[in-house]
Amino acid sequence: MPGPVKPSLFIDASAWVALEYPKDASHQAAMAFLGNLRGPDRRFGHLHTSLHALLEAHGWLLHNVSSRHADHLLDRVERGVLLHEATSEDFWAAAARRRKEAAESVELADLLSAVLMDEVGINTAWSYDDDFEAMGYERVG
Amino acid sequence: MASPSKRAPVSTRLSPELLSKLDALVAELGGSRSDALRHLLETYEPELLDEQAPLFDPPLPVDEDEPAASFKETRYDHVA
Repeated sequence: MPGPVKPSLFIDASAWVALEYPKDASHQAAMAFLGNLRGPDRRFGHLHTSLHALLEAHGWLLHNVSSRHADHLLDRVERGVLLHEATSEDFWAAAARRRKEAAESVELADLLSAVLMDEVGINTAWSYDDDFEAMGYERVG
Repeated sequence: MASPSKRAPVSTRLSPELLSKLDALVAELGGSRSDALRHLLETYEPELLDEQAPLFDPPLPVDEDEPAASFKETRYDHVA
C-alpha cells in the first residue's frame, strides 16, 4: 500500500543560480539540498519551476558568468521538473497582489510564482531570498 | 465531452506519462487543466528520479581569479 503523496516543491530563480554558479554565496547549501531531493527518504515529490524563473536565472548566468553556465541550466531542467507557464491572467493576479497586500518589497516575478504555486497547491519554495517567506510560504534550501 | 480549459495549459513540459494522466482526468472530471493538475499532484506519486539525471549534475567550473557576482545584488543589472 503506497504511503501518502509527498508534497510538491517550487524551485525559484535564486536556487537555480545557486546550483549553477559555484561562487554563489548559497552554492554549498544548494548542492547539499539537491542531494536530499533523491532517494526513498526524500521529503518532496513533484518538482516545479516557472518559465519566468528560468528566464531570469538563465539571463543572470549569461550576463554574469558565461553562456556555457546559462545553457547548463537548460540541461539540468530538461528532465524531472514540471515547467509552469504564466498567462496574462496570472500576471494580473500577481499585479493585484502587489497592490492589495503588504508586498512593497516583493518582486513581481516572485508574486507571479506565488500565483502559479497557489493554482496547483504548492506551499514550499526552494529559494535564497526573503520574498517567499514574506508572502507566507515555507522557504527551504 | 469535457469542456475546454478556460486558460492556457498550466505546464508545457509535463512528462508524457503525466500528460496522459492529466488529459484523462480532464476528460473524466471536466473543469480546467489546472484543477486536474492539482488533483493529480495530490494523488500521483512521481517515479524516483534517476540518480544520473541531469538535475543532479555538478556545476561547471568557474575561473577562480574572477571576482564573485551576487545574484541578489545584481539580478537586474543587465536590464538597462
